[in-house]
Amino acid sequence: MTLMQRIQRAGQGVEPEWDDRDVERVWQGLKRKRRRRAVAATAGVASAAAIAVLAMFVVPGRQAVVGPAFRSAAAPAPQQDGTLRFADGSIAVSWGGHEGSLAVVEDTPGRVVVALARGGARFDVVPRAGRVFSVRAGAVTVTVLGTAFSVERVADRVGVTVTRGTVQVDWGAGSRRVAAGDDGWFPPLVVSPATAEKPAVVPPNEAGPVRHKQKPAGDDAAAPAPTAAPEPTDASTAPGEPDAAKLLADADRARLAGRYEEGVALLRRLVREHQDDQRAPLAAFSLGRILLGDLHRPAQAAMAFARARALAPDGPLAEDALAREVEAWAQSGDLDRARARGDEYLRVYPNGTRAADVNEAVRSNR
Amino acid sequence: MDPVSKKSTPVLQVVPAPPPGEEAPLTFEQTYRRYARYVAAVVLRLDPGVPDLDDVVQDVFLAAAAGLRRLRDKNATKAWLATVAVRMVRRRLRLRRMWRWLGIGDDDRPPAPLVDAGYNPVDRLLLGAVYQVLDGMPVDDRVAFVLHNIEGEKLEEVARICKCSLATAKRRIARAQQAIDQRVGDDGGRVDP
Repeated sequence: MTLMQRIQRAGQGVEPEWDDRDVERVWQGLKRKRRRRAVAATAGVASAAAIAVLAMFVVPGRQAVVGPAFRSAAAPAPQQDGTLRFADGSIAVSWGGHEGSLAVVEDTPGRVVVALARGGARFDVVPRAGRVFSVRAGAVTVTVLGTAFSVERVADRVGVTVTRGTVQVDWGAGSRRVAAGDDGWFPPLVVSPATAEKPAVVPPNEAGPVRHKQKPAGDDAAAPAPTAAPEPTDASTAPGEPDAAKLLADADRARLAGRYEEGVALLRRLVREHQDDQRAPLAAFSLGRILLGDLHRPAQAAMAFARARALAPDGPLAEDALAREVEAWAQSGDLDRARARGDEYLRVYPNGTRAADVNEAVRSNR
Repeated sequence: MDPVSKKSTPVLQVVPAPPPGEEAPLTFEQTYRRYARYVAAVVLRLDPGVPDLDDVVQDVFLAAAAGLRRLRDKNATKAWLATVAVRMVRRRLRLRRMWRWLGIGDDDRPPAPLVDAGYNPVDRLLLGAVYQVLDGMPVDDRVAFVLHNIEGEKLEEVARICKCSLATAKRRIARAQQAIDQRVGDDGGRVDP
């Protein structure tokens, strides 16, 4: 018998030695994974937005580009400062001059569609009859009715601020008009099960996609459809919840206005005082983002990202939070922790989409 | 995008009953139960040191689900699962190698379970030596060799799964065989440096 024949004979004996209980155990895990992925997919733009956010902040200077799906010959190309100028005088300016965050998806006489891949942008649209101007940010579409407004993507949510006129915001499961002087974050936050039972809040067919808290592992009962509702208000939510919502909204406003320290204080308070709230993981993630990208405090940022993951280990932000933690530890100079977290990332997300970014981040700080 | 409808879409949909005389298509669960052990064996043979076999098998079935739904030939199910498993393991092997090269990989993985759990001490020794050589080879060569020399796939099938030409598959297998011939001794358990 040749060596290769011996190898083949020996190799045929390699079996996983699974009994029926093992097959059943893996099947139950498979079902849970399917459900988690379905929830994540319907959680609006969680994954796509997180990719964009990560690409923006993990690797400084790295730019994401959304390719146009349909574009006329006269469609404007982004200028070096990230500005799009349309023939009718409308302009779109990405914040911070991040070229590549804006792309024209469609530009026809009757319809203009601009995609925002990440970050934020300000749009000043000249009113024109018979032309619809839309901005797509993940699963959220902002349709312009002749106005000036801003759109920002943060993790799984899209912030819209209108300074003139009115826009229509559509997040698939619902839509809302936002008028001048108003702002909002979309898709709206998920309400707690107790609040969702209130029939007057939202029609049952408007099931919302955002769900930050996962069901405990091992619970194989059918997951109840998360319910989207307007931003919680004092009149429609349980005691304590408005505080978290207000803190998050105030923090968003502070950050948008460049008042980062104030935003950090508000987010820290939210995480500290409302750690059981569904907004807490997003707040911790946003906290880490500000500390890392705006205030350049990577060690604190790393702890904030770790907190975001601890608050929702199976949540849609968990993978991104871990990748960001790697980057933050690397930036802080604590390469041991960066490597440890990087190793953990590979173990937990062996096929993770952030692997290349994490690699690059660690390598650039070696 | 309609996230609500997307959420409610099952990975595999229930299909109408087939005409008399034809076998009904397998549901996702039936497919899993029929091929779970096969997929696990493929993964294990490609990467005996896999630390999370359960996870990989689950990921293979999730990744294969859409393709399974489109398969017209029910006899192609096994081949499709093997293809997806090979792609997934290949990606993991490459990633692991890159991380190891960067100094953040896990170099202290336990010995391959098959080497410890084998039924024949000589075979255990031989396989341990073979995988030690394969660990140092390009991932593509390793995959082609395992598919052909351990999994027993024909060359044409190896080329199809690896998405390469028949000649390339032959070259990869030959390189691996040559390396193993040179480094694994006649006693089947020695690895020359």
